[in-house]
Amino acid sequence: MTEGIRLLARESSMGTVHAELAERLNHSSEMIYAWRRGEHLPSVEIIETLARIFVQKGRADLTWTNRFLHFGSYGSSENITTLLRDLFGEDALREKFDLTSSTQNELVVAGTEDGQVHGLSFVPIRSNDKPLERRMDRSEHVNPHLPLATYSRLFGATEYSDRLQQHLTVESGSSIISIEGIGGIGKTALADYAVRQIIRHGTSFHDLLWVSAKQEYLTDTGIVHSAQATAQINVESLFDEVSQQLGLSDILRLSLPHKIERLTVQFRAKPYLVVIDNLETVADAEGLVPWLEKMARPTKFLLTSRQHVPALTTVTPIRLQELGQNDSINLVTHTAQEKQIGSIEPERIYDLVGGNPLAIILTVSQMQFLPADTVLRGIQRGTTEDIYRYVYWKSWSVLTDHARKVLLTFPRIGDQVDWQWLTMSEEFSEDDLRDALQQLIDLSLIQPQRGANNDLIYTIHRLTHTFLQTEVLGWK
Amino acid sequence: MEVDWTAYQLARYIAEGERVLHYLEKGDPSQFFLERALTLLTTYLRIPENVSSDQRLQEVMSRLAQALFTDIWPRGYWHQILRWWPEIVAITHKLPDPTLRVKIIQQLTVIKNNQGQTEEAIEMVETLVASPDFDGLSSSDQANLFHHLGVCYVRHGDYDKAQATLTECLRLSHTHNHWELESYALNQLGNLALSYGNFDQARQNYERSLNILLKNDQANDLACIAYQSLGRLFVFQKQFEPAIPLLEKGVAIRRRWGEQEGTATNGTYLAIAYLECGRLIEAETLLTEALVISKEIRHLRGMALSHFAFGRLEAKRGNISQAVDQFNQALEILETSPTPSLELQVLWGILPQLLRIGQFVAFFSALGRLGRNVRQQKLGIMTIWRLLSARIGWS
Repeated sequence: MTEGIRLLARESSMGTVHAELAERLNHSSEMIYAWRRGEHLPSVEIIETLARIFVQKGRADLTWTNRFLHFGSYGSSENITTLLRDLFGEDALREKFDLTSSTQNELVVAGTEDGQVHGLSFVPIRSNDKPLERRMDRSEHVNPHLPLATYSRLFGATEYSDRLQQHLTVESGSSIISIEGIGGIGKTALADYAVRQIIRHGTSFHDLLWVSAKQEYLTDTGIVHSAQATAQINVESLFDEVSQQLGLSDILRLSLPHKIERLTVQFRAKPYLVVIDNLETVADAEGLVPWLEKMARPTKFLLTSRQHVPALTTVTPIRLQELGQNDSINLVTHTAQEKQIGSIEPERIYDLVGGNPLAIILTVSQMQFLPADTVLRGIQRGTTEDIYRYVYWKSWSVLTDHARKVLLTFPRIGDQVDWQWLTMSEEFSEDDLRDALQQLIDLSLIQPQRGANNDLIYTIHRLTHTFLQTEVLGWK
Repeated sequence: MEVDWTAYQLARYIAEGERVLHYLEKGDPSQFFLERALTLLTTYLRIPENVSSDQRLQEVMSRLAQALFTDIWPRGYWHQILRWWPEIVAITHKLPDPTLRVKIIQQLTVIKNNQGQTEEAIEMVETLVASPDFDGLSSSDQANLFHHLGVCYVRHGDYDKAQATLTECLRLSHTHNHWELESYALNQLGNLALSYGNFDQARQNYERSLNILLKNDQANDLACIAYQSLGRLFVFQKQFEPAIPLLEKGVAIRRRWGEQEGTATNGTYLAIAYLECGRLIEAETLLTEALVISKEIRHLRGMALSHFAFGRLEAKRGNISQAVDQFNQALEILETSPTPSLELQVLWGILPQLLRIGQFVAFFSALGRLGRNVRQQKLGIMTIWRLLSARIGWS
């Protein structure tokens, strides 16, 4: 939220009412500065009060306030709509947002793949902030094992999601389901979405367990052929993690056969939903499946994997594909709205770019800086790799040198960089840095997210990382 | 004019490497910062060799690795050190200053030794000591290397070599007034005496080590090493009352430091003291924590020690088959991470339990392994008698 609040604060001349804000909000002037600098996250109550003050003083219209509440992680879409209705009235809302449109029925989540937004079909949250759903889910105490999600909107997932729900919620459904697809396609997002849906709609599962292996990328070979992950977790560690989540610490000390025996008893006695994310990073993943078969029913296992899980009859695969035409066009339109780009030709973009979600988002984002014709003129339908190469070079050409330098921090520091690290550099002023970050965010080359301590961090997609490494630096 | 992005990127590696060094010297970096710094180092190592051959860059990154080690190994980044330090060693061979190379190799062997790759660690350190580089080291660095080699020998059961090496470390550090290394050498000599069952000698060495640390205002810091050793000795001698406060102090300091291995090891000794005093629930909690930590950092000896202690706990509760299962897990781990002195204790722990549940084949198998262990450690009859009559002990 911090970058977004800062930007909006500037737009609304928040600074000019600084002292008054401090007084009315009963917070120190330093605290207000800290919010504006992005060092602290105001509470939901403060966000609401700020919105009311700005509207009352005539400094904020409906669009601005809507963005402000989203940036401020005010709460669920319903909460935001309620407050906006209170501040501006029902008619203004209807006129502005066309509340009867079908977009209301879209899935209102998207997710991350290995900590990255994009993939299957999802639009990164427009704001520079903590995603809406995170706060919502925290407040609902959904499940302590469920990782924080970075959610915006998920397109084209309905069919996959329905199939998943069928298996997961019906007793006779498959007990082991694997979501498979290339890196960045949205496997984790889909698993996450399915789990949240189950929780929200009531569940017969006794508990949810989510195990995710950490990954370490070692090689980059081409733009699309994303880096290979090394095995970092063995089967025993995986069962240890499951045991800890179950609160059965005494299992930890048992030998592997005894562990499996105890877990089998546990999982056969009560229905659990166990998600094993990034199965391909588990050493001897093939050897794991037979044990899962032994433990399954009534417990169900949901796996995500870049590689095809061995074709055993008991494993039901769900293979994620590129987006179809309609979903791609919806994604184009949605991204354009998010980026506040006026005139676009969704069909033409789809014809040229195809159904690669990240390529679509990058292409549309460029239209904030370049005329649509200029962006699209050079794109030739070709291999996915060719399209990405062209799109990335186009984005690179738009960037200022400051923004390029900030972007090149990522190949050095990894897929996450925090504000503190960036300010360590002596080569940018704070304003230059903020401008560079904003440009990178606008072009969807980086994503702002919240780290473990609620600190603002910036993340980069693996494909962007690989482009910098292999194309810009030529380090193959 | 278009920027040369490759040159820019290499220049940033140097600038950020130096900046990180500056921050590390200021002390107490956050984990997030350390992870970013480690990534800076590892991404540098992935740059094609023909691009990254600049000597200044190589030196900065080698210095960065050396400085980072101090902060990351206690936090359990062992896997990463084992993965990347050999490449740093290769780079340091291109640098003129041998000190850096020696230190990086020593860091790598610390982890190798802890991971059970003791023979490999010994070979690497022996090569260093015999190399011309050794003569160019300061007396402090030389003493440090002797201490480390001594630790490896003790772990491997080469007690004669350990005695000679640690004595040399003690002489050097005492002569040049390196009090910290002197106390470490005395501590290891105490461990060596303990391995022979010379409890009085062990206690003398531990107390001398503690006095040096206390004299240098380390009561709430480095003295935890001596607290742990003395506490363990008291447990060995079945003096649980004085052992517990010492071990509790040791654990508290290790926790405050965030030192993973020390927290687990010291915690296990404390757990054993607790269980011998009938405080079984406290013991179980500590042992579970120790096992979790040891597994996380892949500290095989720590895992074996925890299973050994769990075996004692189960035996205390009368769960004989579970006790045997725990001892067997310890023995299995010790096959890949040999620690003869610990293995001896585990074997001594499992033998009566195997008899009680009538597993005679396993009993004779364990007895055979015990014989091989005694021969490997070259233990005399009196030493064996002293050690086994104590009945509980561990390396």
